[in-house]
Amino acid sequence: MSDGARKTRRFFGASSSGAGGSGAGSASYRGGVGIGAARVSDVNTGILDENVLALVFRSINFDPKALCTVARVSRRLRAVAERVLWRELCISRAPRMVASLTGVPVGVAGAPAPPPPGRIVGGWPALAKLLLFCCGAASAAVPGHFTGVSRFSKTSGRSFLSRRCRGDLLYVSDPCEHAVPGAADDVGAYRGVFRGFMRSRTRACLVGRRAALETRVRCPYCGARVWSMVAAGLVPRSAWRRLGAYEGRLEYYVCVSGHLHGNCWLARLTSSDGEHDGDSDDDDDDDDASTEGRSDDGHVPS
Amino acid sequence: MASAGSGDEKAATVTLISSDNEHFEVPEAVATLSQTIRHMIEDGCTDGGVPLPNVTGRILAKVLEYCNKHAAASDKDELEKFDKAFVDIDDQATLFDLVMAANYLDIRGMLDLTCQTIADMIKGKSVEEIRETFNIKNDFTPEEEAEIRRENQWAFDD
Repeated sequence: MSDGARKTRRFFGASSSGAGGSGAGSASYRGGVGIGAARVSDVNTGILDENVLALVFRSINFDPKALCTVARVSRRLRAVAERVLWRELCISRAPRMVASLTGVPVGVAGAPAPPPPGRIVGGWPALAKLLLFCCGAASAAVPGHFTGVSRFSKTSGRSFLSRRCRGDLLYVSDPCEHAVPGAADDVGAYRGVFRGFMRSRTRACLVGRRAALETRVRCPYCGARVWSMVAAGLVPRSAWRRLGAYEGRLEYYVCVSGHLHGNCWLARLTSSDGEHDGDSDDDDDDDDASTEGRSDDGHVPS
Repeated sequence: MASAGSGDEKAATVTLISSDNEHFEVPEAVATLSQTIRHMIEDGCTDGGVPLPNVTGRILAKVLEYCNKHAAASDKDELEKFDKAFVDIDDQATLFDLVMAANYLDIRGMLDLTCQTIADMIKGKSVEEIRETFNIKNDFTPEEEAEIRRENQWAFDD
């Protein structure tokens, strides 16, 4: 390489201000390749560049409010949110659960990160909402609300599956308790998600029984149609026992994407009862997924 | 090994080569603020310079401005003042380029600084404010917009 063609700059010591550079091209010139070059053929640059968006949102821990806002700005931002940002939120809040649902292993420190999962049935925005939002109970006029912190458990999920469907993998949250004005008891609202719902025994049972889809209820997470598990006769007694609900006083829906939502009337506990009489609450750590964020107080930043 | 400086008193330097073939001779102590470059130096593959095909000279110059300052100064207030001025750029595009460069070159401080700056333009802002800040056109129909607004209300229902 000839010396004449080379433009070498020397940067020695803090005194070099570097402002504007020494003999560089004008500040507005953006030819060539690489970071800093004009990308005429690619309109998705700057804030619309998904790599930039991913980095910026990672720095704010994929704040759900900011994400919900950004998804409303334009088609491009909505698309990036749907494909990348909501996915990263899910992974950051519940890495093991997401790994289990998608079959993509969790990264191990020190080893190269596995490629992230591409899709999830029902979409990433729906899963993110499911992780962070309690849908309340329409029948008891309990409105939905942002929760931020929830615990999902496979063991809880198991108790929601009738015996013949016990091979399915289902995560269910702890019930979120709501006082209902005028009622003596509290309503517990819960939600969950199946792994591989399309191939599940539960779905096969529903289809086999020709269970009818509900006409007036939709999945609060993805908007899809739902089956009533009560109507289909697929609610085992272990479900209401696990919840501490009154026998028979629960509703529980599963949508065609495999999202679960439901609510029940919680039996008032006597002071000597534990929360889960009968079922021991000895979930393996591996079974649980908490959506607590990485901040010190264990709460997802709102 | 890094090419030696011409004087006997000078510390070891390394030559960085941007995508548009600009050469920057930089003290190792400055260049190694980039973990990427640090690893290359450690691996001993910097003879003849380090090509950085992902970064133009224009951006690399700005990156080195940052590294220079942060390698030399240690006064927190001084660095804070510098950082504030560093990201006070009229050209938004440069800010985004710096995010990507900081990520590629693995310069943690610069990545945090630039991401924070952009995040501050997003977090807590309304949809309209974000559109205005980044000059983004609203390409939704009014019906779509209303639907998407409903879909994304949940994070605000505390």
